[in-house]
Amino acid sequence: MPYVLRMPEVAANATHATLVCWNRSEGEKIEAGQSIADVETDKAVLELPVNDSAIVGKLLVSNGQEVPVGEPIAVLLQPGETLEDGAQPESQVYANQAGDVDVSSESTEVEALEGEVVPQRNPSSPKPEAFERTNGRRFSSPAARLLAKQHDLDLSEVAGSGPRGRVTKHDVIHHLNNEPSPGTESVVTSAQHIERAVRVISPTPTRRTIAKRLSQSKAEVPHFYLRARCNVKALLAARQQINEQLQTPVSINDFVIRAAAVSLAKVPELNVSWRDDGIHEFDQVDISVAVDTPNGLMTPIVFDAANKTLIAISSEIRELAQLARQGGLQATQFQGGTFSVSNLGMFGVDNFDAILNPPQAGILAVGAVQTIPVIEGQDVVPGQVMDVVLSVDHRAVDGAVGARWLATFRSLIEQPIVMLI
Amino acid sequence: MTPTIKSLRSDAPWVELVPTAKDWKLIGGDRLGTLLVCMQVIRVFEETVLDLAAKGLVHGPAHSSIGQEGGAAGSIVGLFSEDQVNGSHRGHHQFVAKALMHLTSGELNPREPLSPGVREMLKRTLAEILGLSQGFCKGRGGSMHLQWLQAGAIGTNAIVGGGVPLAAGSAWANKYSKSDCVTVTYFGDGAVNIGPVLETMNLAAAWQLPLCFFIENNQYAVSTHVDEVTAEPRLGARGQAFNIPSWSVDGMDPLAVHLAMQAALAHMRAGKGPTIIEASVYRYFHQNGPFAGSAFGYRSKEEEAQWRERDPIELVTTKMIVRKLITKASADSLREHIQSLMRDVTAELLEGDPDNEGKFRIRPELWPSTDFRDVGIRGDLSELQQLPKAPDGHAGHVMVDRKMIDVVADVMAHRMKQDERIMTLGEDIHRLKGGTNGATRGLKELFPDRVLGTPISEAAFVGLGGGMALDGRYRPVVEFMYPDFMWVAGDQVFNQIGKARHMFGGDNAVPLVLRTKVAMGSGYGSQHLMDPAGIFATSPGWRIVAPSTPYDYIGLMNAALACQDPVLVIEHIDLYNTTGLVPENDMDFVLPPAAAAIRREGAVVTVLTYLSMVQHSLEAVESCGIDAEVIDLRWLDRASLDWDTVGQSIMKTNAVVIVEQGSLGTSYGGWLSDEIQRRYFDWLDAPVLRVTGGEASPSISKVLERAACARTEEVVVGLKRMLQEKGIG
Repeated sequence: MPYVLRMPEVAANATHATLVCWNRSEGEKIEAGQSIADVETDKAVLELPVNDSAIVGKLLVSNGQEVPVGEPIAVLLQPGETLEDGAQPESQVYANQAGDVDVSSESTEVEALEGEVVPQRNPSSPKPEAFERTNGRRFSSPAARLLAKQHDLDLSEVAGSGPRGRVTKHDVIHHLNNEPSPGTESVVTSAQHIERAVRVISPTPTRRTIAKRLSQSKAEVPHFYLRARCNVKALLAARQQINEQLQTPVSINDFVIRAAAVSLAKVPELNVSWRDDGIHEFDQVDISVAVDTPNGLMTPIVFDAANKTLIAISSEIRELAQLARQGGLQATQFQGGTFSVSNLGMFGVDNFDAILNPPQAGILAVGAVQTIPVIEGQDVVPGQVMDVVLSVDHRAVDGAVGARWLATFRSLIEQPIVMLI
Repeated sequence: MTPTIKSLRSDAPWVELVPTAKDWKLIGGDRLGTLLVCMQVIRVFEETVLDLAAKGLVHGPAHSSIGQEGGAAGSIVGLFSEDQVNGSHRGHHQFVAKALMHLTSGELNPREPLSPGVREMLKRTLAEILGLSQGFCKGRGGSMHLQWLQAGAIGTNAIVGGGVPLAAGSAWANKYSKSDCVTVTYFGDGAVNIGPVLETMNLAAAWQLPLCFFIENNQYAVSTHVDEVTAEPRLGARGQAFNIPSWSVDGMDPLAVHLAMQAALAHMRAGKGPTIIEASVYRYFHQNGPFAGSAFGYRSKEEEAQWRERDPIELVTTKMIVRKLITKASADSLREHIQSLMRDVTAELLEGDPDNEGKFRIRPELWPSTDFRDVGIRGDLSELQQLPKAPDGHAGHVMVDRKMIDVVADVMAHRMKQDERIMTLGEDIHRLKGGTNGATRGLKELFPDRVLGTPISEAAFVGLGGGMALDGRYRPVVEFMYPDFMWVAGDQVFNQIGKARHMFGGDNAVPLVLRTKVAMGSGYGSQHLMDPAGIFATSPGWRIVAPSTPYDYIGLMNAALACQDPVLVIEHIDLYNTTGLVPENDMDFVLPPAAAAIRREGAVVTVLTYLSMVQHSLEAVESCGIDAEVIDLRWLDRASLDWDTVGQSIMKTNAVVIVEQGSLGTSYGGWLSDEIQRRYFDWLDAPVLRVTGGEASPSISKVLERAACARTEEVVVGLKRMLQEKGIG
């Protein structure tokens, strides 16, 4: 019986795909596994193989046409068949699976159908639309229904990978995670994957925001990274001297914020943001400071940091961090910012690469102060250093600018007296 | 050919006893009076029951004993309160007689009114027959399950011959405790040909138990005459086969019965073993209900009239009048007194039916509450509360590696030392250095009179164990060499032991341990290699444990031996030679019910298993790398299963594979999967999947046997199938 080829769900939740070009013409033969067409989504171009050798009966869409997922795109024939034989729509297969079988021949029908289900499951995700058209019920496991209900999810949106197209809990988790169905993953990999997945804790809104923004940043912003090792011997000495005069001590991070702010004032080409309409330059340095809170990462802002003294910055950060941990930050206190500083030195991290905090163009990742041998003149002496890594949005800033900024920053850290002026 | 023919005869005497006129003069007047009152109470009581039956107020059969009073009174008058009796479906007369003796210290005066205690007993007996909560078994037992342990009435029985092995348990306890008490088990001509009765005759004789087999030969098993079903209708002859002395008497003559019983009691109380009394009696009515048997066409009115002419009450009354012990008038007033008492008692249980004028109904407030339905199927486990547990699995203790089979023998030896009530019995357990597998090694040497090698009579010896447990003085540990032998003893195992507590009202503990071993892989074929867990799980009175390690064996056996319910302990030959760590200095801890062990934590699928399949499941999980949670159930029955652990695991994994070794038909997992889908439906991501053996019992051929059993490979297949069900395989 003629077989209707439909537009597959090329990427998870893709609603449409473009048929770039047909690789076979009507009447041509095509072998199993060969590509009949190239298909493109906004993420990928891929070849569309056929499962069984066939003759191309009819091409239903033309090159360059965008087609909804699940729509017929071609009719494939076996030798001896003609288009007039009438195509077997896939929906009929599913209808039978869904229990609409003729009772008188139930057992043989099911036997035959189970044979068909297995190969259908693997090449691409089953198509939910196909189930809906059957006017029968869709199979879903109780656990899948429970999970879907908890997430207010319509199961008709979820592709089922269990027997008879049953939607399993696994399918719902994949759907919620925007992941494609597992397809032909090996047993072991799938099992291990599930092991992690079922231990996922339902995210807080903050967590969701972090996930969304950083995924977007890492996926869409072209990061480059510049690394520097700063000698902090003088800084530590200065800090000690200063703290001897203060009731509330300043931290190394306070120096870092101050140095970053001064550097941004000196190299304003980094105090920018890539937007759709062009590069935005800022005349004020507003530094987002990463703070670990029970709800996850928060970034309260020290506004106009270049014009604030070390001590002013220090006390402001202390207040902001406390507010952030208590969940008391106002939106105005963490929305905006032109540059970020993330310091994991207190956790003993030597150095790390930070993900940009969009739409900012720069973030500085600060490591711990380490005691290592350094060369002073001709001698190897104990030295104290701090590694920093600058992440930069390459769309807005080139490497030379970043390097200039990092040199300025390093110089300020190594001669802290300058930033105190 | 001229062989020498020598006539052989049994060593056992078999006599007919007929009282003489002199006996009627010698018998004490008080004794005759007691017999008369006893019979008349039974007669009027039974007439009351039949009257209520005719009014449709007795639910179920009313098996009257009218006409048979002479057998019961003649044999029971003269028993001590501590002597025990049990009986059959037709057991009102023995129950009432034994209760009367208990309440009156054995003497009843025809000229005196019955005591309030007797009145109360008759009311409670009638209430039981009507199914009311004030009955002796709280209305559960009814007419056929009358039990009053304090009176020595250890329970009548609706299965023909079913009570006989149980009576042997009490008799055994009488003998072992060195009391001179006896047990009398009453059954009819219909029961005399059923296996467990004959098995018990043999066993009681072999062990010289003080047990009287009292055959009430009332000529008919329902409508079938005794002459039709045996070539030796002189049923006292059964003793000849087992070397049991036997007395045949006219049961319509209470003095004949009484004299025979006195002879039998002397024999039994002297420690000479069991006796048989065959009393020829006649039930005036049909099997049940208020109509004559002749109405059903299997016997004639003439025959009935002939028997009625020899009425035992008339006989004793006449003899007493002759001896001037009583007058006709006082005999009549005795009957009237009892009738009046029964009318009053009945009136307390009935009231006019407001919906049917002129008719009666049970007073509604007397029915048991329907929520009593399942109360007392099992005990409340309070007996385990004070025993030492091992919540931390003996963390910090010195542990030593021990072989399972050695632990099996050692824990029993240890418990038998600690608890002198424990007795072990089974086939060959006293020989072969610990039975066929060494499981009872050393016990016979340590406890020569507490380790009992039995005849190959599963019904008799497990029933004897059941009776011992119901009696309560001792705690039997019975071994079935192979699980399939439970079918041989099915009535005793399931109808009797499994139901006794519930059936008798919920309070009669049944502390019996039944040990058996799964032997799949040993080549013993279709009739030896089952896993009994599934069948026992259908019998709610039974608890079931299945230890998979030596450590578990100690804790589970200790719990089983302390438990007041029957517990099946399933062993496995594959495990006997495995080793495991046990505490060096603790053989006393218990693993109480609801103590499932998570042998491997996992997230993808919950494997519920037990016994040897625990290790096979763990091997399967490792070999295919599936992240399964393997739970060793330890306690398998519905009431003892660890639902918390199982439920938490299912909520985590959303998938269940029940793994067992044996064949599908008798398998364990069916009820469990049903229970799981009802309890945890919303958490399931796939149908409960079961790994079992094949459909048929394992064959003897080695390859067919392997194919019939589940082992590691079958578990792997099951796990992979479950992943497919979950859409991740």
